[in-house]
Amino acid sequence: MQRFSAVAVASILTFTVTPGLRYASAASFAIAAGVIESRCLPCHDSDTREAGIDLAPLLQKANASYGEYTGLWIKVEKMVASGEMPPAVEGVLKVPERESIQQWFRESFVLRKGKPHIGPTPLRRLTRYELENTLEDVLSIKLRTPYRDTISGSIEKSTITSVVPSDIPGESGFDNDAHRMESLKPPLKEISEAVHYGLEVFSNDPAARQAVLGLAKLPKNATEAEAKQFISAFLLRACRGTPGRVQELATNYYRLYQKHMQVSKDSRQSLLHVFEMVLVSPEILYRMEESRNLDTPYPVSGVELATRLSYFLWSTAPDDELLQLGQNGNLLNDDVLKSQVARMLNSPKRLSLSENFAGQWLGFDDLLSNSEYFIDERWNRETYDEVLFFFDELIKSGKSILELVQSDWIFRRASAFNARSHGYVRIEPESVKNLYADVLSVRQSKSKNRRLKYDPPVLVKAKNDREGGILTSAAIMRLTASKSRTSPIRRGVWILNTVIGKTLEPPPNVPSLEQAREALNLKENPSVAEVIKQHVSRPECVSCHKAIDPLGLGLENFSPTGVWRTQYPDKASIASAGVMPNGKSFNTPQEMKLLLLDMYKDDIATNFVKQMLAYALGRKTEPFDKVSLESIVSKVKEDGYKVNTVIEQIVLSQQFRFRQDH
Amino acid sequence: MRRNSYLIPRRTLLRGAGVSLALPLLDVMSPAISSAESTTDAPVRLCVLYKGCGVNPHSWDIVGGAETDFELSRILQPLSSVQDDILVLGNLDNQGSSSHMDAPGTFMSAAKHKERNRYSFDQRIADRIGSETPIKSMQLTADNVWKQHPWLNILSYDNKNQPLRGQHDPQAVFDMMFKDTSRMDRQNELLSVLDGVKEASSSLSRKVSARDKRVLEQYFDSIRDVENGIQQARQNSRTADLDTKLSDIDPSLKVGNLGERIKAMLDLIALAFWTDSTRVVSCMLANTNSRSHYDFMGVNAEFHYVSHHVRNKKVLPAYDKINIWHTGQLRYLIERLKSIGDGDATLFDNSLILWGSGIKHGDYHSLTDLPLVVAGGGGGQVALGRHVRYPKALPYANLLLTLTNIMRAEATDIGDSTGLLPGITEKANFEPANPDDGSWKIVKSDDKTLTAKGLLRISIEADDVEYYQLRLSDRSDLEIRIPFMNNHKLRFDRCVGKVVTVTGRYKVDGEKKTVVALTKAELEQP
Repeated sequence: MQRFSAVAVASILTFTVTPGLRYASAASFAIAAGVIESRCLPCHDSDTREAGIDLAPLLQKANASYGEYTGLWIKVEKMVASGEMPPAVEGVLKVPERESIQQWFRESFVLRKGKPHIGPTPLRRLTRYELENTLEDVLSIKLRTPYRDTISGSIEKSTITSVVPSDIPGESGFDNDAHRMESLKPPLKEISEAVHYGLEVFSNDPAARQAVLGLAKLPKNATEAEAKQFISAFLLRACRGTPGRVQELATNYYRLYQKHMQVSKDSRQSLLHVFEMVLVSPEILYRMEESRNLDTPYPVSGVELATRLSYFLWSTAPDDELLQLGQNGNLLNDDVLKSQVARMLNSPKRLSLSENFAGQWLGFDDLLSNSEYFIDERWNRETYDEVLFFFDELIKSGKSILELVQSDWIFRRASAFNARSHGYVRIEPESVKNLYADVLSVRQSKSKNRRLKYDPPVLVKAKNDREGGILTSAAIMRLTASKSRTSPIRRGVWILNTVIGKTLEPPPNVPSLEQAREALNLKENPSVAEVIKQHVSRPECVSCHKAIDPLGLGLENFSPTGVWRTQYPDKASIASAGVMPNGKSFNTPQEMKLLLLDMYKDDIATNFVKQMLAYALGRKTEPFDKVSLESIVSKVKEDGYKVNTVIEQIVLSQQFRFRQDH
Repeated sequence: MRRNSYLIPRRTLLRGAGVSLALPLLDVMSPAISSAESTTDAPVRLCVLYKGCGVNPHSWDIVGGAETDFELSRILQPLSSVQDDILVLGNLDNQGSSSHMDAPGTFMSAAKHKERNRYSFDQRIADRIGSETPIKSMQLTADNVWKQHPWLNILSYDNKNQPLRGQHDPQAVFDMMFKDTSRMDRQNELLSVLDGVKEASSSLSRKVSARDKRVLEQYFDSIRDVENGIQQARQNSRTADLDTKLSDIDPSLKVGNLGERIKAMLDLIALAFWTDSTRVVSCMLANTNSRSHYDFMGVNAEFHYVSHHVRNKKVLPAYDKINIWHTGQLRYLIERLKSIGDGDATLFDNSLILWGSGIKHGDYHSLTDLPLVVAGGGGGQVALGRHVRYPKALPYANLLLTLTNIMRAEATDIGDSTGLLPGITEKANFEPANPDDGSWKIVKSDDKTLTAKGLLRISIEADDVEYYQLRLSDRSDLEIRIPFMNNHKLRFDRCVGKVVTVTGRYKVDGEKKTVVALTKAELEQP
């Protein structure tokens, strides 16, 4: 892992000095193929296929382009770059050998005709989450269910989330994955029902009509000019502001309005009918961008950038200020763009980054949606909010990614303050309340009954060295354990996969019957550590488990619900002790977390950038993103690992601001 | 504008207080008021029920007996009251991948290795017959859905090999069938909205790329699906009167726990078939990596954890208990469908149910000899009340091919199929395995030890699982309860399902002899 980081730095250097390089030359292929043939094929040819890997197809030049063998090439490059392959016993690659493979990979997969590019831009469709936000903003209504008093024994879903099916995450790991979405039909019937419901809420709300149409009451007999005005105003708001297109659409929709009027004779009804069409139309559900049909990156228009930015940071349509800067093109200026990012991150709408990005990345949104994790309404809400607000605090106060692992502050659930001697010191109690006014309005129940009232968690100083970061939060501890018992392996795998970003190969095949029988000869009641030791005694297991197990064992002091414990239910004592793969040992969760940072700091940062970039672009990152990715990571490291720097650098990247058609 | 039922905030409770009532409205589904037309050519409905995590093979396998005269195994015991309505199949092998993620898709498509997530057989059928009903096909998932791994729960894949996600909320399933879009006024409104969208968007003059245009085709395909669904709903045989009645009912589906959710889903399947809302349903009862706790039935452990019953100690009783409970759910659906009239027959007669798991052995994830039960008359095409164990292993794909053809969606091959499967529509008449030649008895015995020959089975008791039974020719069973290390050293468990001669010490309790220690166990040479 450490080696990988060192190489990552080295490759940034090589990437930045490639002008004038001739691309994908026959000569560099011949060298790379020669190295693969002599150094890799002895174990990985079509006959031997060690570990099931056959590298023979890579000797054909045609296979070094995006297609069937891309995944294999990525794997080879990664193994070679990190020095994991060939194994030391076979003799590691010499520097020129390694570089020849990396060079060929770069020419074939990272660059195109010797230049960085961003790959074809997929068409984005609104997710259910984005649809709900967009309807709320376009119609100036509230669709989310406010927190009720905690008596119902359940987490209530909003009407939209109970009508529209949730989206299936794609290879990026996020449900806004455009490649996944574009392969599926949009659930139009359900979307229509959601829109229909939204318009009913709208038509019963004078304040909403005032905000959207400038009129608290819609006339039953609108004049032609009035109707045209309403339709244009609505389209301008809903269609994310391309005036030319709005004009064209307004003509179409006015015709449809007239048609409906012939039957309804009620302009109020006909207008709502037309609004329904607008909100179900592809103009709203898809984020269409003008194509120049080019295979090289070109900048998107101001309005298109405003839309991209708004859906990235707010998961909703751009507001008036952003739209205006898009329309007049000022948003294309770096400084204006940066100041808009700062403004948007200062708005409560930024909470969507925590809810939608972090909720999916860290998986804590399962606390609200998966009944397997349901304990009671208060507990689930509180533990969810602890992580949600923690993540938001990273953005709000410009803190470091690494504080996810360890911080001297946390959000602590309000119910902890009910105990007389809670011992917590609040941090800026008043200003927090003000800053969150909007956000909290839906998260605070209005009950006068103190026992039932739900209050959001409070920002406090960490009380002792058991707390800090999110790894030890009740939410994460619950999500990485079974209801009845903790599993150090599950927790370790979660940290490696999710936080450090190491993709683990699935374990080698299940043991044979005979081996399993041997395993049964274990003594009657083995300890958790003994079982794990038995489990990983085989060499093919050790390579991964030496990294997995210590991370999980270091958290054994936390029960499945995140409560500190020193004994298992059967009274056996617990030691959160272990040895990290670098040989350093620890005896408490705190020590483990510090070693974790020590070892994996840069991997955590790289993974964070990768995850957020994938979320921002709506697709998994590809080799051609490498140039941008590494430049963002290096800037983030220079700037103290700040989450806000990640966001700003992503927005400034070519990937985010440009488009490419092929 | 009509007041929308959604305006009343719905309480779709994850955990309701008190007793929950799944679909009380099913009371209206008595044969007396069945609205289905009496026809000789009634449509056949397909229902696939998948329960993941495999089984303990010994607890599942039916040992001995004949095709129509057989004793149910421990896991299949709950089906004893409907034994004449099922067809238990053995020795059908699948190939492809048996990983947690792939097992359900492999089960539904019999896809070859590295070809996971292929066009599933239920969708092949839906593509042929689905346009005759308002809803082409329904996908349900009763098991909990992990947001980051939703594909664990996905059974059905469309003709572009894309996943079709299952509905998890019973209330939403009910609404899909009977709320708003089943009402004429809302249907007209929706059709008019979609017409308008088509008209207004026909001039997408913006320079959209060719690639984006292809994506937008999905949108217009989806419009066509909605239009077709509405058209079919209008031709649906159920009366306007019943329609109104159903859409006026708020079933208040208070689903408290997993058990209640599964029951609600099965009720909804019966309701969907009865109202002819759809004829193709797949339902995920438990996925192959299910982290759900079955604490509502007293098992405080994850299903997936206990399914690895070799590696994890002392979990077999809990594992069997869950599997037995699942079998009870199949009985529930069978009884439900049998109680509802459909023309001159019952819904059960005109249904085809496939019940099974994508893997056999819960710990080894084996793909051979899958645990499978077929039920439902298939419109008079399936010969029920039988246990068929194929003498030579046949491709499981042949079963999918056969079922597809029974559903009148003629196909010539699916996955690695080699042809139609014998013994489904007619009696198989295979030679029984382990025939009783009359020699199964206590061969010799003194006051402490005995030697006996017979067919070894594990007990069928659900509450007391840890002993064996030696079936003798007089149809009595000799009980064998031996310590773990005794069993382990003799590798005694490998003898289950085979004819074996055992020697050991026994105890007597009244008339009953129980072997308590073994010195020898010899398998009959084939």
